[in-house]
Amino acid sequence: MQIERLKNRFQMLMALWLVLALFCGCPAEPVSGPAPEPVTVGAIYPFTGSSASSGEDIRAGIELGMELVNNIHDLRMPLASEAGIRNRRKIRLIFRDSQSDETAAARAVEELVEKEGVVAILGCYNSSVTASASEQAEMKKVPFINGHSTSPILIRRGLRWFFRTTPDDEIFSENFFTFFSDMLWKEGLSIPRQLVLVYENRLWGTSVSNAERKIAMKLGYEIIGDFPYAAGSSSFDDVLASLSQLSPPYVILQASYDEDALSLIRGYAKKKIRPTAILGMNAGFNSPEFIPELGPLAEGILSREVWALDIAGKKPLVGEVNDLFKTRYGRDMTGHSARALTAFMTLAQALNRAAGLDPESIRQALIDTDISADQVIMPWDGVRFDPETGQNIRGRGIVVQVQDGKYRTVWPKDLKERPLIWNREKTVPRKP
Amino acid sequence: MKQRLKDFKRGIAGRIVTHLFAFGIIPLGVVGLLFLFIFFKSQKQDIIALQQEISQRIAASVSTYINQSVSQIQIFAGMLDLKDSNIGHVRHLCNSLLDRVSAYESITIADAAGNEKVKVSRYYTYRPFEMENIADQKGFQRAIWNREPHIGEVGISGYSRFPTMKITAPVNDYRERITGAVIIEISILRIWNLISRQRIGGNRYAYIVDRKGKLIAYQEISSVLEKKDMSGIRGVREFLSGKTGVYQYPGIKGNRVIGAVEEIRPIGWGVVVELPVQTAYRNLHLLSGLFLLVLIATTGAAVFLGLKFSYQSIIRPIRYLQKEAGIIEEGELTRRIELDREDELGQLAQSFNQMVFNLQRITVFRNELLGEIAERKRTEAELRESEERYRTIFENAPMGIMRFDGTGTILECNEPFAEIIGAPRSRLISFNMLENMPSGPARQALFDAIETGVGHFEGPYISVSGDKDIIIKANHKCIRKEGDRSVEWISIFEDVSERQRLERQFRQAQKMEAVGTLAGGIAHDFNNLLMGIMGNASLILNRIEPDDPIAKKARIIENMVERGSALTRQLLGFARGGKYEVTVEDINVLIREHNEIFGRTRKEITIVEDFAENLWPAEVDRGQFGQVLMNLYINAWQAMPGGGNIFVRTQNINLDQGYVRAFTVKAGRYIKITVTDTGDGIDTENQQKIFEPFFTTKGIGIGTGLGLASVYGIMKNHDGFINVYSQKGCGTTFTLYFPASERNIMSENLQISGEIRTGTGTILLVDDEDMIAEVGAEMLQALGYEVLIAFNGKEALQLFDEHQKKIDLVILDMIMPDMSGGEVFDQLKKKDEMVKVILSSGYSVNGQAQEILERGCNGFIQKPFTLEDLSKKVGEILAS
Repeated sequence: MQIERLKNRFQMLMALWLVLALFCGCPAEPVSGPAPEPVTVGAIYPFTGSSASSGEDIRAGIELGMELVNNIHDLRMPLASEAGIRNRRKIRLIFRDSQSDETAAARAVEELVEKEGVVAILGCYNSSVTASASEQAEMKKVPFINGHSTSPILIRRGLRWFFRTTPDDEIFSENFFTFFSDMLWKEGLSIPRQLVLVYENRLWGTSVSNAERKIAMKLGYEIIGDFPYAAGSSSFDDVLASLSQLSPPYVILQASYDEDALSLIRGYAKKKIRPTAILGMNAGFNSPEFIPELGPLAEGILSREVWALDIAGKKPLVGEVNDLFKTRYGRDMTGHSARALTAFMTLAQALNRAAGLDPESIRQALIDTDISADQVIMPWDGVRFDPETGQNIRGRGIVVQVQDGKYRTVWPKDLKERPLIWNREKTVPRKP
Repeated sequence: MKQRLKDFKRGIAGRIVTHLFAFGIIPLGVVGLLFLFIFFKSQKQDIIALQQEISQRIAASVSTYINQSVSQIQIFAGMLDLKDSNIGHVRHLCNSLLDRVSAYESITIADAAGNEKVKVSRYYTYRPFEMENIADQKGFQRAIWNREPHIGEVGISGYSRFPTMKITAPVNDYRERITGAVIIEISILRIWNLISRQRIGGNRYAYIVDRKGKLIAYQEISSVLEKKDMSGIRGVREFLSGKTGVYQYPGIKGNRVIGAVEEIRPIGWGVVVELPVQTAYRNLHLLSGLFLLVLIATTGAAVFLGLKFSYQSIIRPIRYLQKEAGIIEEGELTRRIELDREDELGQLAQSFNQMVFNLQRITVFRNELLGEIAERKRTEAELRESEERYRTIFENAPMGIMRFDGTGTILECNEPFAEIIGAPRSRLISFNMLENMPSGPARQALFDAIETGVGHFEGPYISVSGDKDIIIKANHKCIRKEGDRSVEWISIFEDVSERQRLERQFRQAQKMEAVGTLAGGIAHDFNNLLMGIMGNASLILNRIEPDDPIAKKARIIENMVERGSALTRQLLGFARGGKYEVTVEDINVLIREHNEIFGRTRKEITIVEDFAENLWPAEVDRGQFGQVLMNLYINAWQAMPGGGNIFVRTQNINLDQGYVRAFTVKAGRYIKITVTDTGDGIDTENQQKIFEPFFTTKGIGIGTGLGLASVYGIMKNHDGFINVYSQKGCGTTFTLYFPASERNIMSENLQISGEIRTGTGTILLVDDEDMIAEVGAEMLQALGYEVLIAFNGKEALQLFDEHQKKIDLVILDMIMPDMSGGEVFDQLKKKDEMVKVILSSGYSVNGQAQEILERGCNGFIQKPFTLEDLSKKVGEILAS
């Protein structure tokens, strides 16, 4: 009898508790009151020096990403349709100039963590700079998200706090040779078996050249020229002199930053160096100045790219975002800004998901990242990090060609906008 | 709470639990703990051994890896042909090696002179002009000189900033000549990645330190990048001091660990494998926790079950029994214990019930018995109390009490009875009075009592011892009868001798008082008469020539008045009116003075003095004292016609109330004077009358009968008394008692001259007797004074008012109608503080004259007085 009564009382209490819990648990919409403190994120890119233009482009991409996250936009992109991340928190960005210098970048990391209290860092551009900055971040135990440095060595260091959204040079190098194979076997083009490697001699250039060399040897290509140079050199005369000694046909596989790329292309023209094709490894070949500066000299130059505006035809989101970018900056997006936006959005989504705004929670959220192909403006299958290396395993590159003063996607087939113009093929005997 | 715990401990439940603990749980616990201890110890040993094994394994792995690397490099070096023409091939080989071995950071090929020929790096592409000479590098030099591979110190890669080590191996040609060297920079991180794949257990962590204690490999790369100095950690410290083994200390993560330290042989690095103590002993702790839990649970269950069993089966029935017994104990003997059980407790309850039934019966008897006992005790107590009361009365009564039986035998008597009878109490018990008493009224009274129940006797009685002649009063009364027969009587005896004596004395005193008053009155009037005669006679003598024949007659008149006056003085002495001028005297001195006078005149009498030394002084009127002594001496002289001895003795004495009661004086200090003669003595009958006035045994004309009466009166006046003891033919003893004075003796011997002193001044004479006033006035005038006369008090005061300034002296009669001399004196004093007054009287009530003198009156003159007396007194006062 007494037990029965107790049971009834207990049930009543439970019911009451549930009702209260429902009332309290239902979030009032919209939540009023002052906006909470924004989340501070650091961004270290080269805003001065030889890579400054790329740096500015990256800044634009990140800023657009911040605009999409912090304000409401009618875009089918995560976080774009809401103001801020979870709990209406906005993201505040603090930019620091890396000056393309390892020491400056490492110092910037220290400063951002110590003084600004950033919860994560975006950066950098140059692989060697990224290496030192990410190592500094590793020491400070702060997540470091890289969207642009492609040196394979960066993910082989065993760092716990390093994440890279962009595919690396090994993937891109492989892409080059896949592109050659496709052109040779699927399009029936004549591809020269002689290759010339031109690259800056630091980490990026070295790793790119190592990758290219490795694959080339594997596939039976002959490297007839190997020309490392110091990035930012005032003169490329020795490289150009050596190049002019070589007898075509050959394809130049080049890894150069902005100014170097421009100087060398101009140098080729000047010294009448006529390779069958020049295949740039992104970087300087995709900087906003590349086409405007070179004008007709740029025509026909191929470049490995991670992004191109023309993929908007296949991915409507790309066009929508580009429109916003154009409205904001008066120009189209580039691979730099697109990758920057993607790296930023990946971080923003991780911040939104993270259990807390402490580094460990953010790191865990980054590891848990699972972004599908339709949510990114990149030609990728999405973003997902290898928990061991921090490398995005869903990335891949495309090959673009400057046609009519614009980058046109010519490879892979599913994203191809225009057919390849193999304008230097005549000099190369076609192989059956 | 404490009490309950105490009760529990003492109770059965407590004992059950204690036994359970003592013989079950505690031994079990001890064995368990012992087992745990041994198990713990062996497990610890296992853990330590495992730690050591793991550290050794890792050290061995790293050694192997490095040895393999060295071998690999040596093989690689053996493959190289460093001819200039072959450099391209060498570079290709280097690139291939770099590509294949991820641990290699860079490969440098130098010729024997130290010139770099090929230099490939994972991070940088060297151009020809960037080649250097490395001949001065230690690693290169050692490898060349020693012709064997050299493993360098841990350094930091110029590009990756990760710790690296350089292995330098010499390159030989086919003639074993040194042609150069291969320097390979190996990332330690790669070594680490390699060894960290080894399974060392999820909670263990290992790290490698170099020869200086710097962290060079660890899962936390950030710590490695920091180039953390690990010499603060004990394991590393032990390693740096050359020791290896297993230690317990705060590890790299700050928590307490079991750390195994091992050296990596060829390179001298140290590997440390740490296992958090908490993890290591987790299972042990779990096990011990489980054990404790089981122990506690077992203990709890045992205690609970023990308590439950003991409570249900033993304690509850016992408590029930205890409670019921308590109720029965309080007197509920009709109560029966209902415990429906077959066991010992059930039987106990039945026995208990039977016991209670028996007890109930016994209680009824007991209560009756107790009632009787109580009643008896009460009666006994009352009896005892009554007996005690009787005994107290019997023993403490001031009179003699005695019980006797029908034969006249004394059954019991008290101490006063024994005293009256004059025999010890012990002798009186069983004393038969009828057999031993002479026949007489006393014996008759006993007979009467035995016959009728009541008997009385009052009369003289001579004590058993015969030395006491007393008067007793006895009342006998029957106090117990058996049937009609009286068997016990009680007698009350009283010695009434003293009471009868006191009664006699009192009657005598009353008689003397009455006679005294009468005599006093006569003496007063008589004195006034004598005053008139004396005054006139004095005036006559003053007026005529001494040899005139009338003068002779006048002197005869005067002489006769003197004798009359002496007579009245005797009377006044008796009538307690004559103590006028009291002085503190040494009685011995006074007696001696009179003895001398008396001795001179009566030669046949010898006075024997026996005076006490330090005799207390007494306040006496010298004249009257002399009168007393002379009267007694004359009496003695008359009792001894042929002469004889008079013994005079003085002594100090303290008289108590009992002794002085009959004489109506105060108890206290007295001076006792005994005057004893050896004359005929006085018979008992006369003894009672000798102090009465006018009683005399002497022939007519020989005695006045006033001598002893005046002695008696004077003694009274002095607040003293007189006793006489005499036996016919054995002399007489008079005993005088004067109260002792507290004051000191005043020795004043007034020189009295016999001349008539004339003087001047105004004197107010106050007297209600016309004759006295007139004679007095004439006498004063004859002495040369101016006289104012007043016949009563009012007149005197009036005159005093009118002539206050003139009046030098007032002579004031003490006894006057309306306003007495005392009252007039007081009024006069009020009017003039300095007034001089002489009091005059033929009679003085005891104390009255004295009181006035004490109030400030200047002097007293006894009527009748001669012109000479008057002149002396007046002159004396006026002169003072």
